[in-house]
Amino acid sequence: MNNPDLSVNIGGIEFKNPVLTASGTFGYGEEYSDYVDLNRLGGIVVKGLSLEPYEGNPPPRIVETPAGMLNSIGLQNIGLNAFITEKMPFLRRYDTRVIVNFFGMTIKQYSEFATKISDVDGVAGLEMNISCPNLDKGGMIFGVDPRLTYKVASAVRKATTLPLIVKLSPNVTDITVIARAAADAGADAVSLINTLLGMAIDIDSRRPKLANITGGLSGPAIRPVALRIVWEAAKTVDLPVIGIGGIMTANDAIEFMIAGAHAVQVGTASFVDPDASIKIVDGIEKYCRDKDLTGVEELVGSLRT
Amino acid sequence: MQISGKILYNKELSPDYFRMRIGFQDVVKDIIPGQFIMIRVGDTHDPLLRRPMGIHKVVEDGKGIEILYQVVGKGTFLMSEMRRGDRIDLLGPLGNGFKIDHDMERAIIVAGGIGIAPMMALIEEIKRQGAGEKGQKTKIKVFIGGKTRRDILCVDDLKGLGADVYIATEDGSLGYKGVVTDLLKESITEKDSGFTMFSCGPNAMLKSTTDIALRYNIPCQISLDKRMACGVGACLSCVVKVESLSPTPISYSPYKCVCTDGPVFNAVEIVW
Ligand SMILES: Cc1cc2nc3c(=O)[nH]c(=O)nc-3n(C[C@H](O)[C@H](O)[C@H](O)COP(=O)(O)OP(=O)(O)OC[C@H]3O[C@@H](n4cnc5c(N)ncnc54)[C@H](O)[C@@H]3O)c2cc1C
Ligand SMILES: Cc1cc2nc3c(=O)[nH]c(=O)nc-3n(C[C@H](O)[C@H](O)[C@H](O)COP(=O)(O)O)c2cc1C
Ligand code: FES
Repeated sequence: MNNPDLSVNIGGIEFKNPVLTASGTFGYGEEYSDYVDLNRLGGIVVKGLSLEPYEGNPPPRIVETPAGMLNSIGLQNIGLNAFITEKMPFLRRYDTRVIVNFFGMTIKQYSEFATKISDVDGVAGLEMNISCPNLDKGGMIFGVDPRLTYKVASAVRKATTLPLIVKLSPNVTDITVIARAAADAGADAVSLINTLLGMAIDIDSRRPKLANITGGLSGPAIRPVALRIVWEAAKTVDLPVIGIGGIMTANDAIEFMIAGAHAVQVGTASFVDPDASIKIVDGIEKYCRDKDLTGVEELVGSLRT
Repeated sequence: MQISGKILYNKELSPDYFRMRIGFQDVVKDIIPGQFIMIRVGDTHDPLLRRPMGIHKVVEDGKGIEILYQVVGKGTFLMSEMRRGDRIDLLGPLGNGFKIDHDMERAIIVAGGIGIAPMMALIEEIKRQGAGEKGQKTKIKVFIGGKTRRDILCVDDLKGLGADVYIATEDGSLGYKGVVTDLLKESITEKDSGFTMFSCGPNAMLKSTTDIALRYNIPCQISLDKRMACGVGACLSCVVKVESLSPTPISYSPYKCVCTDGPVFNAVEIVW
C-alpha cells in the first residue's frame, strides 16, 4: 500500500512531518546533531532568542519532580546577532524547517526582533513566546492578559510577513480568551502549552529547590493538562494548533492530533532519549498505515464525542 | 554517542558504594579522564532524567568503562539493582576532561567521598603520559577525605598505581581527623609549587582546594557536579558562573555549561 502523507501545512509553512522539537529543549539543533538525523525532523524550534544576549537565572535551575522537571533557566540565550552569524549557517545545511522562538521585555523589543529576523535566509517562521514579563507594565506576563496578548501580537504581525505562531502560556484561567486574542491579532497559528508554573522545597533546609523559587513544569506529568488545553484551544480558534506538553511517544503525539493539533513539539523527551522525536515520526507513520489513513491530516481533530 | 552497553558486573564495595563495569559492542576511542556519561536508569518516567556519572576507568582501550557510584536517591538505587548481563543505555563520552601536561612530574589529587571516582582514570592516564618510562617518574600524591572510613574508597588501587595516599575522615575513624583540605593545608609547602593539582568532590571542598592552590600558585583543575537534564549543552540547566573574559564576545554570558564547557574547569575561572 501507499506510504501515508505525513506532511502538514501550518500557516503557509510546509512541514514534511508533524514533529518539531520544542524551544529550549533542543538548543540550536547543533547540540543534538550527533544523536539525531536533523533532516528527518519536521522542524526545529530554536532556543528562545532576544535582541541582546540574555543572562538567565542563577543556578540551581532545574529539579526533577515525579514524571517531570521544573526549570527556571530564565531564557538565557546568545542574542539575535550571534544566532544569525554562529548558528544559522549550520541550520541552513539541513532539510528541515527552522522556526525562531523569541521574546522581549517590551512590545518594542518584540517588534524590533521580528523586523530584524525577517530578512534572515533560512528562517521558515517565528514562534513568539508570550510567557514573559512586560517591563512596561510592572512585569505582568504578556500571555495572561488578552489585551496585552493582542497588543504584542499585533505589533509583531505588523513588523513581519513571516508566518507567525503565538506560543501560549497555560497559566491562565481560560485559554480560549487568549487564543482568540492571538487569532484576532493576525497570528497564523498558536502553539501550546508552555510550562506550568510550579515549585519544590527541600524540607531539610526549608529552602526552595530552585534559586528562582518557582519554575516551569514539563514532561509527562503535564500531558493530560496540556491535552485538555490544546483541545479547548483547537475548538475555539480557526487557526492551526501545535500541541506541546509531555509528549514522549508516537501514541502521545497522536492523542494531541486527535484532540485538534496539526503538529506537535517534543520537548523534555529529547533529554531522556535524544532520538525520541524521530521515533515519534516513525510511530505516527506506522499508525497511519495500520489505520489505513492516506495522510496524517485526517487525524487532526478527529475526536469522537 | 548513544550506546547500548552490557553490564559485566555491578558490585557493592562498601555500604552504598558500587562499582559497575559496562562493556561496549564497539570500541569507544579517545575517552578522556574527567569525561562523563548520562545513564538512563529505567524505562519508566520516574525518575525521568538520565543521571550523570564520571568515567572511573577505561577498560581495555575503550572496550568498556567502569563507573563508581554512591546510592543517594532513587536513580542511583535503581542502578544498584541492575544485574550482570542487563543492557544499559548511555550517552557519552561527554564533556571536557582533565588536561594532562606531557611529562608532568608531580601531581596532587584532592578527592572528597565519591569525588575519587574520575580520579582513578586520571591517575592511570598520568601513568601513561607522565614523565619517564610509563610515567613512573611522575610523583602522585592523593589526598582523600570523607565523613567516615566507609567513605574512603579505592585506597588499595591508588597504592597499586604507586600513589602516596593521605587520608582524612571527619570522625577520625581513619587517618587524619578533620576535613581533607585541612590535611592538605598542613602537608603542603612552598616547595610543592611545581605540582599540578586536580580535584573533585563537594563544592565546599573544591573551593577550599582552590584557595590553597591559589596561595601556593599551583595550577588547579576541578571537576564540578551540577544538576543536568540533557548533558549535551542544549538545555542550559547545568551552568556555573565564571570570571568574565576580555575581550567580550558578542554572545557574552557570565555562565558556562558544566556539561559541555566542563565538567573540568581551570579553578581560577569559577566564581564561587
Ligand atoms: C559530571 C558529573 C559526574 C558525576 N559523577 C558521579 C560519579 O562518578 N559517581 C556518583 O556517585 N555520582 C556522580 N555524580 C552525581 C550523580 O549524578 C548524582 O548523585 C545522581 O544523579 C543522583 O541521582 P539519584 O536519583 O540517586 O538522586 P536524586 O533522588 O535525584 O537526589 C538525591 C539527592 O541528591 C541530590 N542530587 C541529585 N542530583 C545531584 C547532582 N547532580 N549533584 C549533586 N547532588 C545531586 C538531590 O538534591 C538529593 O538531595 C556526578 C554528577 C555530575 C554532574
Ligand atoms: C529546559 C527548558 C527550557 C525551555 N525554554 C523555552 C524557551 O526558551 N522558550 C519557550 O517558548 N519555551 C521553552 N520551554 C518550554 C518548552 O518548549 C515546552 O513548551 C514545554 O517544556 C512543554 O513541553 P514538554 O513537556 O514536551 O517539555 C523550555 C522547556 C524546558 C524544559
Ligand atoms: S545539562 Fe543541558 S546544558 Fe548542560
